[in-house]
Amino acid sequence: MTASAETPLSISRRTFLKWSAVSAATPLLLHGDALLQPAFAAESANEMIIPTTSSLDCGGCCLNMAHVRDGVITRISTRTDAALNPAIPVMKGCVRGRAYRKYQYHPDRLKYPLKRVGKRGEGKFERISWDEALDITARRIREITEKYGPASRFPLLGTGNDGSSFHFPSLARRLFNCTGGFLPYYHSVSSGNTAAATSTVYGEVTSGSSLDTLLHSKLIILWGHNPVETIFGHTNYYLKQAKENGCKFIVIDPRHSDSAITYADQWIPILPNTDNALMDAMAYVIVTENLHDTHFLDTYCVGFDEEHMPEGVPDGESYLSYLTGARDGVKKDPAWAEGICKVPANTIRQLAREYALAKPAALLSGWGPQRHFSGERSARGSIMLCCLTGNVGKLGGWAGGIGRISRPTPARLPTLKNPVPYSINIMQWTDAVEDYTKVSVKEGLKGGDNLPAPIKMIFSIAGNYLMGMNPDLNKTRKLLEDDTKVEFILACDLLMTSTCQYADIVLPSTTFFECWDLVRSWEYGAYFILGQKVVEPMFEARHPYDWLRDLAKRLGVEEKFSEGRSQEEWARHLIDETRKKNPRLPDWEELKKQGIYYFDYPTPVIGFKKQIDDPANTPFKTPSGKIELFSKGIYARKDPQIPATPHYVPAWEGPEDHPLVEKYPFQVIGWKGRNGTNSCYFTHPWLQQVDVHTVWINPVDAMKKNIKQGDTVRVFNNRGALLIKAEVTPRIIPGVLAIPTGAWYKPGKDGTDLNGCLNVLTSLQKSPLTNGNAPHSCLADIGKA
Amino acid sequence: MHPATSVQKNLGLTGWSGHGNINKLYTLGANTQSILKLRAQVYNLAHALTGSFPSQSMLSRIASSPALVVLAEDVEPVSMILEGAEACLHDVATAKAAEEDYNNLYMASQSLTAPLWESVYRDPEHSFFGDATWQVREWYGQYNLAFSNKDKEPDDHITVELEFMHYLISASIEALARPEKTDYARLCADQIAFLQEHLLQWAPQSFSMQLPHAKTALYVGTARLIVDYLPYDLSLLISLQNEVVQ
Repeated sequence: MTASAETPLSISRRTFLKWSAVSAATPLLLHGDALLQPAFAAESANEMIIPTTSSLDCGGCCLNMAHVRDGVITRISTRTDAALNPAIPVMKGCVRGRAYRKYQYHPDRLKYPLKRVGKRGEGKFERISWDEALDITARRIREITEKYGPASRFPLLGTGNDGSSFHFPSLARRLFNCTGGFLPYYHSVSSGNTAAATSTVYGEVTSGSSLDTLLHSKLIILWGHNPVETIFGHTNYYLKQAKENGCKFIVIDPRHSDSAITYADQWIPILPNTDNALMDAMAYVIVTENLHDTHFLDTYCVGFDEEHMPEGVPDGESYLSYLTGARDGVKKDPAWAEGICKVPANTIRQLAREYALAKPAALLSGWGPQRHFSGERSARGSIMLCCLTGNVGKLGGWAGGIGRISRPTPARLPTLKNPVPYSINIMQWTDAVEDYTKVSVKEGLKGGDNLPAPIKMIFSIAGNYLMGMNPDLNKTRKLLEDDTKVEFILACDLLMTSTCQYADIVLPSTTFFECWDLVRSWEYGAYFILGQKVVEPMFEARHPYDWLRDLAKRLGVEEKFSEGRSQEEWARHLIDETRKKNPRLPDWEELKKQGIYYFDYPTPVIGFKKQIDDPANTPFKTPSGKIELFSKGIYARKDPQIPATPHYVPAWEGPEDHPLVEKYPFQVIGWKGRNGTNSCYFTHPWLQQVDVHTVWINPVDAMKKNIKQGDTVRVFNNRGALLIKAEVTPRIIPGVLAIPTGAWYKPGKDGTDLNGCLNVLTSLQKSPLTNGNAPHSCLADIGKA
Repeated sequence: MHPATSVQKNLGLTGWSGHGNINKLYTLGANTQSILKLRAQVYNLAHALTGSFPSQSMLSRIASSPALVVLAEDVEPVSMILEGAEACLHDVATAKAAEEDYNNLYMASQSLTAPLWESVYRDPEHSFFGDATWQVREWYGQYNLAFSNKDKEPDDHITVELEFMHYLISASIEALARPEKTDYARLCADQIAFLQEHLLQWAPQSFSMQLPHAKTALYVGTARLIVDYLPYDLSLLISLQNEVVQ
């Protein structure tokens, strides 16, 4: 309830109800001023239907309708079939979108600013006023900055309701930039490994094509790609049409995902971390059966065979030399691969032939496999297969790798220039807390040889990364529990997430129904939706822009931070800025009515078409100007974990990591379920019913471990343990346990996680090429609890 | 048998040491106004304790209220509340523990053990702003009242509903003084209806859920007051209504 400065026993001094008709009927205890208020004016109860969208970190960006009556959202509906624009299809709300009203009106919404009163992480908080919260925060910013400098301030990533043009974490960055800067991170934990790997081959990350090109594909391979559950832009719209057109689908995945159920003519289960063994054997079949596109390889690529190697590289280093065994005496044939990846040799032969003969064919690599220690290798391997079959730059083909394309986007609120020259890889932040002197250039530090200070302050706005999605949470927890290390943690969110539990100040944030935003589509779309403020923020929730503006006032930089604009005025300004490049963009009032704006863009877009059509005048952006199946840069590193050609190497915490695999014989992988957007909905009761949080285990393994369906099991390794129910299912390959990501960390008294949070098992191990995240390279054991 | 006692027996009230003073007042016949004032006092108390953590001066007024002291003689939860208030006034550690109790039970820094909004229990979606919220909003509207923060908070929080009951009781005290009893009868009927249609549909359940988690006398007493008193209040109201009919 709303607090008042003084709360006398007299209820007439409370302000919950405005009295209009009571006179002096004073009950016994009432004494004090009677604050009788005039009658309220009756309000219109007409329902308004307002087009809007969510600004969660979700691939959908669906056009949803908020039905609003008397200041309350009464229901959510979504785009109708009649409103579909086939040129730029916009997704309809899925189970997640249909559950937004429940999310908005969740009784556990954070309601007031809170201050930690117990030990950090103990979960004890007390309500404070916004003024007190911001006064404390301003004081801590001043103290910590004075003592350690601006590079000690670390705003973390958003993974929840983190906005779009008003990107919530970037608003904090803007404030820090007004007051000396902050320590930035680079590397996307979603796709950073494949982004880096793709760049080593193509010289850039825009390796994708528009999805309408898939309507021309004869075969689509979804390799660790699960768009049915993740909702990856409007991928499903086109995959469904491709399926209806008769395109064949093969899904390669350790798990029989919903995408396999929906699309696959064939599911090929594979052990995690062994994708390159399968890729190598496919290449072996394709080459030995002369199904490869020699013209493509000879014209556009370096590194495939000995005749097309860069200068200065000794003989025997080409990919072909590796395949045939010329280098190490081992033929990378299907029988060899079967022993590693567990895909039967005949299946490999069939797969290789089908992929090589279906012209054109699209091999779409998901982002799950690249979150392994082997992820950079497999991302590069996928590109190798696309090149081997000449599917790059072709309508209906696909270039592999990250698959990103460039699309127009609306203007966003600028973060301003950061005066701090350093930046760290996201995987270095715990190092920068624990011992900043060990944060090295070799592991990703940029802008200098050493950090000038440890991380002493963390702002986590709209994200549960800190203590939910960061790997090795038990280690992270120990770091954060010591409040002499990170001296101040601020979290701002909608619910009391596990990250909020470790904050010193917790601030209630707004949902996407309670603020303005220009919400861009993911990757392949070319539109934005005006996220509309359809209701007032619940309780004392405030948009981060608003409270950061008040914080800026306390720090003496309010004008610089706000430029005199309110949140709505910024939204209007960003529309004006977007209109400068897009004159068709309607004015504010019209946009509020239509909700969505479609950018002009040519379609279809075919990745690298220019380079393929006109190689003489359009080189690739690599050092050689060609597709580098052999990377001289990587070769110079002499790191066996990341070879210059994209071939199989037994992975750290993979199935061949002896002797650890004898102790922890199961590989554990995570997946993003249809009921989650990162960790947003872990306490959403409906969505938890959509898919129950369980560990998937194959019946063969379950029998060995005497585990039955529904048993509570303990999954554990040397980093931690969790309790979870078992789902005994043939939908997961033997030797692998699969646990959905997104559970909120909840350690019990003995440290065992009670919510089944996968990240008590995962590791902070950095990937070999880019020092990125490899959480799904993870060995563990399982037993009945 | 006295009507109130009869209803009390029929309702099978437990955990209530007796209703001597209220019944005594009733027995005095002409003292309907006193009963109404006592009822108002109970709602007043519950309202004050559920709405926010009481200030020192509020605790002092609770502890020293002659009317509550009288009630406490027979109404055990009131007795607990008075003891709790007294202890908070004289012992800083107790006051701190009570405030922590309040924060845990009422302030939702975490997921609440027992949410304090009607629609969370009664709406099929178990969310804020369900049908019950709209219904109580209509109830308030019938008396030209509106929850001052209704755009930001649901109208069916326990404290707002208790305040509405208090409003109706206050209005009925005023109406009782007038020769024409139609308004008084309507106010009695509306109190019965609001209790039956709303507060009794969820509040005893909610505070029964909260009770095992309350650690201090102040809030054990508050929870028990709501669990025990609301059904009893209905019985009183029915008696009062019968009185009007007679």
